[in-house]
Amino acid sequence: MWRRDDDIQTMLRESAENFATMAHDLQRVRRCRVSAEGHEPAVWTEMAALGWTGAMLPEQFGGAGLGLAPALTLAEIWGRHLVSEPLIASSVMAATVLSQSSSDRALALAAAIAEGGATASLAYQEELGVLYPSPPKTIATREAGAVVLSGRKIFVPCWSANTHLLVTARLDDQTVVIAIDPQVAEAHVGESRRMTDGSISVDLEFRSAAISADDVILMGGAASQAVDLAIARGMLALSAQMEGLCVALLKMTGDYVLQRVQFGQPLGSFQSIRHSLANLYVQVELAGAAWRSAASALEDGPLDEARGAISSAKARASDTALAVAKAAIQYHGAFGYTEEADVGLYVNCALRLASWLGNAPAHRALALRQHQQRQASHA
Amino acid sequence: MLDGTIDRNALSDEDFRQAFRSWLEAHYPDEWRKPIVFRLRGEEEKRWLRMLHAHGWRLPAWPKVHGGMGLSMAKQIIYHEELERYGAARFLDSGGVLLGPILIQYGTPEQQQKYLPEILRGDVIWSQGYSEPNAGSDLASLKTSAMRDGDHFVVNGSKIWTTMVAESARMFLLVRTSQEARKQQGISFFLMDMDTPGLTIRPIENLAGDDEFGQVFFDNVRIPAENLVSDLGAGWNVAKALLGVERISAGSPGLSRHAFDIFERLVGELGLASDPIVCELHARLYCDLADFTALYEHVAEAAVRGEAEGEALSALKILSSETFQRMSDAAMQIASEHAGVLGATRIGALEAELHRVYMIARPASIYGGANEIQRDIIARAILGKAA
Repeated sequence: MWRRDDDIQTMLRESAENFATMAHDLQRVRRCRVSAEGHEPAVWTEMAALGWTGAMLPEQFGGAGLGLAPALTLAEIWGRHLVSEPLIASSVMAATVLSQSSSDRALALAAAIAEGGATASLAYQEELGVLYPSPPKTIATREAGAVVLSGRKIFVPCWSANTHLLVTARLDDQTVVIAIDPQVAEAHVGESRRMTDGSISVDLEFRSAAISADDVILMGGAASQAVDLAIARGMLALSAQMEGLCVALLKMTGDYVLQRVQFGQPLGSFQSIRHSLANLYVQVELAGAAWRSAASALEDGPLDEARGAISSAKARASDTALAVAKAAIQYHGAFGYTEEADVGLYVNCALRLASWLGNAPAHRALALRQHQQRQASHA
Repeated sequence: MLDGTIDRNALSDEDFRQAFRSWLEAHYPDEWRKPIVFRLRGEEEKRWLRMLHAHGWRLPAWPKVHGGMGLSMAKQIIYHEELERYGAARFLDSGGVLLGPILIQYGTPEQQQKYLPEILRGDVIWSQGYSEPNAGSDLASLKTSAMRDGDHFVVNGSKIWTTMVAESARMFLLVRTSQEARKQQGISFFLMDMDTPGLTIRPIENLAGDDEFGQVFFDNVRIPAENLVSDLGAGWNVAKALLGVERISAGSPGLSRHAFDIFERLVGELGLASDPIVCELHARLYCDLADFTALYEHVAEAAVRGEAEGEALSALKILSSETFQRMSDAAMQIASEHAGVLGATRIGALEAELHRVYMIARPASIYGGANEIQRDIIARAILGKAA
């Protein structure tokens, strides 16, 4: 097996697999898909006790200080079992931003995520289909010791009424990140959308919302770099999660074609199906290798050097997840087209993960741009 | 100058890479730096093998006791990578790469003493007599027969797709020596001189315009019994003995990368860099190459640890051939009328052999185990045997 875990990853994988078997099943996934939060807060609290919600947070923030690779292992398991809790939004993306701040406000929120199972979501997106954001159009101004916020964010992921928000804005001509508590009246929830994986994304509007100056947790270059890094790590985690999803769904489809008999033999004996699954297997191998290499590039060097590899990985994982999803429906036959079959849960999850933080064509275009810029700078 | 005193295995992997790269830069003939389109044959291949031998770079996989470099798997992989990176011409070296390890494992001391040194020196070109007109992917169905007659075996039948057969002085071949219940049994592995009476060679020209391979007819060809390798009837196991690093390098992204370079230069010369359709194609190819390279590196590392599985190597073989083909297809797609030019064609500053590259890419999914076979191997790993 070319995939290899280090000791920490092996331990995490075992405990997460164990959790997924004992405390989780696809019935729970179905419950989450119609719940107000899109996940089960009680389960998230249990995960906090296991050290997963704060896996990436440094120890002085109350976290486990495990770094990126172990978090990606967790994401993989999330994908295999369709775990609904907001690992990527809270524990990868929000945690990355929080851990770049030295403010008490950030520290407290980080500790709440790590220890108590608070959830947080990074509200940076203002336009559709943008991979890394330009300076925010949301404006913050200083008024009488407070900060007044005006602007609009779209598709804020994994939102619930109890989600803490990390909002990007422009203050004093610099990018800032502002922490906002849940249910603050000044954050108007616009359109709320149930996503295909069962999570909730909302548009938020700030109409001259007055916020304490202490809530500004990051400013300037540190703020925009933290947001970019959070997004990059989120892309990697999504890629890992999609690989996990593909592995599980391919296995499930393989098991099905081996037991389903037609024309006097298992479907899994027909070469057309065998070769088609072999092709998908090759794509899953590519997806698994691509995100692992990209993760090494991000751990070993600056984000700018890793952007292309990250995008290539996210593109491969997105296309592969959708390809495996469609094949799974096809090879489960009419049964695969029913709501009651579990195949649909995977297909729906794949649709969400493939389009979140940029779809495959957008990422391929970015990967090519980075390649060309590197060529031009060498020329 | 034979310098057998240098222990290149003692170098760190990075120093080894640098040492081989420097040697290539200093010694590799410029006129041979034509990746994809050029393959060394005959006297040129011998010149190259002798050059490697003279400088202590010959046969990375052979053990030192037989005169090879005895390199670690990691360094063997680096060796192949550096040749590819430098744009060195392809070369077959069937004797060193395919036959040598078999003789080292199965040959008698007499066979080893007779054949290994001349292979090492680069003096003798070998060809591989496996495929037959009715035994390609289904190699075990081969029918060319050898009947014992005193101190000899008498061979009748035909071998085909035998690469470099016209240049080869000797051939190693699989023949049927008995009819058994399982077709893999009753096959034996022989060594043969190409000047043995009764042999006829018909060159075959391929679609790339080369006559590198041919068909060989055997009409009562008498091979000395001492040329049998291993036991009578053990040929199948001898032939499928692990090819080691060859299975990794057969799955490397080298040819794909060179073909991608051609595509990129075409985009530039044709002024298509901002064409949205070409951009989408370009981006797709770039990511295909990047992800394939990532997988190759992971599997190669696993192979060094002894943990690369057959299905992963099959995946690499599929990717190396089909990515190469996709690159060459894409070059044709954007080349407009140039795509119909036979031979080299000048496009701006680029002298492109689009047709040749396109045709050289075709058999990549056939040789070394057709991709359909590779998919069978993968399917068996994930689904078990077909009922």
